[in-house]
Amino acid sequence: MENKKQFDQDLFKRVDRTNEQSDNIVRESRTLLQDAFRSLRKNVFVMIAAVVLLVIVLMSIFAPIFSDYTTREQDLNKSLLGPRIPVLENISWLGLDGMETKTFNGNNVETAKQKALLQYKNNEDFISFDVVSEGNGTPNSAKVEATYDKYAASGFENEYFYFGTDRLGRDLWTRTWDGTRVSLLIAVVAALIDLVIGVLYGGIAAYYGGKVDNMMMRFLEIVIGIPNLVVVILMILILEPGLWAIIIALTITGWTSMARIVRGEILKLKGQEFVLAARTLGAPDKRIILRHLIPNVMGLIIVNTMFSIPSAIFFESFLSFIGLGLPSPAASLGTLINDGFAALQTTPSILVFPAVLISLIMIGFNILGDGVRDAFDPRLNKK
Amino acid sequence: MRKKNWLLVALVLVLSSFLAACSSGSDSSGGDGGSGSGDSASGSANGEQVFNLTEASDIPSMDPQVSTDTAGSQWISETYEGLYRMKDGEISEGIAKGEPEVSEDALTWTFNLRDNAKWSNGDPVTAHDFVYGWQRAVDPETKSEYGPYMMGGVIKNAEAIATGEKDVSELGVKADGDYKLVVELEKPVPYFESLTAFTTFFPVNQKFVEEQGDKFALEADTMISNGPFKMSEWNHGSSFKFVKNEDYWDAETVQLEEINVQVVKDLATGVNLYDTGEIDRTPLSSEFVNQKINDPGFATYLEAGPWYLKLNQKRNGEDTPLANINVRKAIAQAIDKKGLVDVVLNNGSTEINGLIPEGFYSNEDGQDFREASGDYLTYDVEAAKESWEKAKEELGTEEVTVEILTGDTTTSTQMVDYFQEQLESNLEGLTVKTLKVPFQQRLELDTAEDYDIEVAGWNPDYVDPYTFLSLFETDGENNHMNYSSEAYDTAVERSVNENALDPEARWNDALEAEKILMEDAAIAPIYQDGRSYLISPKLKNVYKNQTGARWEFKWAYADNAAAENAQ
Amino acid sequence: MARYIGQRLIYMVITLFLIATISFILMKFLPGTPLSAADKLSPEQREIILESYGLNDPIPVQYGKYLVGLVQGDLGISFQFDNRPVTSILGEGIPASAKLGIQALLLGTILGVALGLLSAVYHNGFTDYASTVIAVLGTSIPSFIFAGIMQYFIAVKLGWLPVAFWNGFEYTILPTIALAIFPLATCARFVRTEMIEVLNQDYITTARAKGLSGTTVVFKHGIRNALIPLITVLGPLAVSLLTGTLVIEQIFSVPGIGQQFVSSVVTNDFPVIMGTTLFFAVVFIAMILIIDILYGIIDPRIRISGGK
Repeated sequence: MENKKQFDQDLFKRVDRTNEQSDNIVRESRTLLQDAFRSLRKNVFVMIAAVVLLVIVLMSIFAPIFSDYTTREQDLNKSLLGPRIPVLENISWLGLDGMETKTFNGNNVETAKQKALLQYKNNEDFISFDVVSEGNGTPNSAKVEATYDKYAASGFENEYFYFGTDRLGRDLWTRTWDGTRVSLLIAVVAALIDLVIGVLYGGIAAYYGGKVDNMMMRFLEIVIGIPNLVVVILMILILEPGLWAIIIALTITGWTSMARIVRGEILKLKGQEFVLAARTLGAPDKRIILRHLIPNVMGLIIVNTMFSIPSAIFFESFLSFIGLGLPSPAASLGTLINDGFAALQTTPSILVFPAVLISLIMIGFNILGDGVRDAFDPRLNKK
Repeated sequence: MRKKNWLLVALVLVLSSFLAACSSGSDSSGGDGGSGSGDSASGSANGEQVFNLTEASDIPSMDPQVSTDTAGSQWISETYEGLYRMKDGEISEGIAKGEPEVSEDALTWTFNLRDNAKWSNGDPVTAHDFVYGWQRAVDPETKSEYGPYMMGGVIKNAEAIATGEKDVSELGVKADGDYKLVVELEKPVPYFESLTAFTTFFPVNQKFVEEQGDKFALEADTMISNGPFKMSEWNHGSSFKFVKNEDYWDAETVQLEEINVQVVKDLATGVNLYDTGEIDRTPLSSEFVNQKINDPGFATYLEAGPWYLKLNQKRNGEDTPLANINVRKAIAQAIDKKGLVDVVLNNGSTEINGLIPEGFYSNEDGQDFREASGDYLTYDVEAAKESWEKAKEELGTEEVTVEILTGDTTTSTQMVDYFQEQLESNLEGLTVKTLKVPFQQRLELDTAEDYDIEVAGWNPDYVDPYTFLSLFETDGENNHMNYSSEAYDTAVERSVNENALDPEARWNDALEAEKILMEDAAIAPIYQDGRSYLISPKLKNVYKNQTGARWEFKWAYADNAAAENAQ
Repeated sequence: MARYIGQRLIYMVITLFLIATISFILMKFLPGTPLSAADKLSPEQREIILESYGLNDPIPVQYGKYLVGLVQGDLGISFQFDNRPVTSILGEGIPASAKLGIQALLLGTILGVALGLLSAVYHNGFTDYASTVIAVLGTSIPSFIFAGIMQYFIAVKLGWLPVAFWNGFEYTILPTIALAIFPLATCARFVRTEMIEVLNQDYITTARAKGLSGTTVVFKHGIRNALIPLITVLGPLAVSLLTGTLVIEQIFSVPGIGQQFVSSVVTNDFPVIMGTTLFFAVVFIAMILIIDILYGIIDPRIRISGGK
């Protein structure tokens, strides 16, 4: 070959390796945290989840502030209006136009229409009919679809309740976002408290094992064995009913599940070689637990925390189900979902928005949690 | 039967389809023209004579003397029979034949019992069974809560026996032979007949009760019956079943063969069960009222239960802001009751501007008490604001905080949200806090007088204004709000003492008492309880009462053809 | 092992005793009486009745009496259901709740483990995210909403299954599904997390390198090692399912122990509160013991009885 590339002979000079140089690290080392963030940023789903959560958090803070309505302002004339959103109201299949549509049956079109009129308080001017089937005189053969413009009928043509209103005529947009903030606060605070207590408790019990483990686990069983509901009712009566009473009631037994999971994992890990190695090197217990064992359980801890967030929200909603939730007029996703559930078959829109929101929050936390878990796990090969 | 005008079941809504649906067959028996579940009784029994009903909870007790709740009193009244039986709110014949003989001083009542009444074990129902039952009710051994409550101060020595000071044998009730019951009262009790239709006053068979001991009335087979039905199955917590009692003295009137009752706590579940035809009657929550208003089975009843705010004047030994009459007036007039009943409750409840509910009691001329007494403390924002300004001046403060105590149901939550907003927006400077607790805890806070405002209601136990008026006497057992008015006490007591035998004077006493109570704004009346139901058109001749058994099935029958026509 | 279990059984009794004691004391702090018509009694009459039930005795005396009864197998008499022994109330509620709980647990665990495995094997693929979404919806939407929707569409609109009540197997299907959703989602999440970790371990790589098929690797070598955390969460989950759930029982009119317990708490029915609490505690402690024993069986490296 003619055009044989000529290499500079200097490139092939032998590196003089001395002992000192072999200890040099050429590339800057990345901490676990930096490493984690690098891999997090590369995961599209995680980023989407993070953005969704951020939007929800921001909305829960700012939507109530910028809303035209307050969370408590009532007007019975506005009771149970459907959701109505500007622009989107023109796309009829979305159902965001504040109209109520229902099908009425009758022997003939007239009787079906009569039923619709009775249902909608004889506001003839605001009902439009759409005859589905003319009927032949036999019972319920005629079908009429009536669309009722409740906004216009109650004289609020120019108002927009994005999520509709509840029975007391409160704006659900404002209440839902406000409730989201309250629920997030309850859930995150409770989850963090559970996390700290649970990880330490479980870690210590498992690491020391034997008598310590035995005693600590028996104590934990006692805590779980005492009926939560009794404690909650006592809390509500002793403390001022509200956010903190619920958070305390939640954490009194909430940390136990975290403690048990961490204990189970650490029991498994503590016999492994790396722990033995650390101990042989003379690492103190604190260091072994915090630096060697807990990072290895991180994945489970994160997953479990993600789970304690919905269970906190649900427990709060269970409390409102039995009537022991937040004092009036505060809202939370739990109370909203309970109110909505009562109207599931009649005005489902009350339930839909908080339910969608709670699902978004949970999906967000879970995907984020998985991503974070994967990112923090030193054992996973990262490409 | 002496015609009593004092009861009128308020049947608010009767759909025309009910009438249209009735077939024109002849009325074979029973159903002597009452207004049952909304028909004028022109149908007849056809098809299977079975009703499928629901209760919101299991029956706590089937022991007539121990029972305290509505489910118990409902089904005990169907399986037992006392001296009289309530039918469509009026007194009708029971084990007693005809009217009682009442002595001059109205203290001794003699009841003649029918001699053909039998227990389901074959024993005859005698006056001794009544004596035993009543003694049992006040015997401290029985630990009955209703015994001392219903009989104390009514039947001679009842109170002393309940406190253990006298022996049960000294109770003022004696059997004169097997079929004559002589009752001695503590004082004249004008409403005594209506009391005897209440479960506490039912007879029990001594032999049977003693045989069963601790197990009496705990299971279907440890029960005895002298009423139109007997319990044949009891699956605790889920369902129970009644069948016609062939031993009942008036068994030929009873057409219904079977009543199945299932426990359904969730209202939406009830509606779904009704829609699939598995049950024949279900209560409706406010959510379903709008949706079901067109249903042929939709019906609304007004109950005799007034709901009001108790305004506690002294808490922990210190005067609350509510000790000030203008604060009370302001609060009582600042709540839009119409909005509450129409939109928030939406179940047939009506606003009430007094204590005694509508359709509960009327005078000899047939005038309803509520109508005669007029409206007090109506919703009037201007008046409320005026009182409020005065009150703030008198209290010397601009900021007042009160706490509302309420129950833990969905409705109470919505109501208290509503009260809070109404009060805070209409009365400037007022802060309202809320406390929701379970029923027993609410009772305890009430008894301890540890609350400012309490949302409370009262169901009557007998048909007389005294059942309500006695609540707020100075030493009334249910006052618990430190209200005390000498004039009120005098008027109330006069109606059951000096004037006990003079219906007109009593009527005026009651009117006067209510007026005083309202002018003092001791309580803030809010609404009279209404209930909405879906009731299958097949249920015929079911009577509605306001005390004791809310529904009476003795005369009922199933008209299955009507149900089909209504489809 | 036998010695260890024996020791644990002794601890169980001690734990139960402490739970009973603390619960009893806390319960007595609940304001109010168990009387059903307390508002209709005069103060004197109320005292007489409370006295006759022994409710006016000092708490230690009441507790002593309770313990004496307990040792003899007598859980007392209910207040809410006058004169009915607590044992028979428990005997009615427990079977229904347990049946639902076992069915839901089986359904939820089997489907959940399957879903979790799929997620782990196809880590970060579409299947993974799809199963994440299913699992998360399962945990994020309260089971009573599923229950309500299923009841309306499947039972009322389609008429395939009964709306409510408790009269046979077909009556258990809807509540079982509603209850199974949460364990399903939980299992799926935990199995996924653990399996991903396990599948990255050296012995799995070794197994693959030996030429074992994917299925064999996952099923023979993978699952066993992923079970530890699953068992840890399944324990309490099983307890909560076996001990009944108020809301689902209410919606489907199931005569279970869950609603019984809540109603006993709100009505101050002390003997029933205690009876149910003890039952819950026994189930829970037994479950924990079983889990601890299982730990040792599944992973011989775990030494619970030993020191550090």
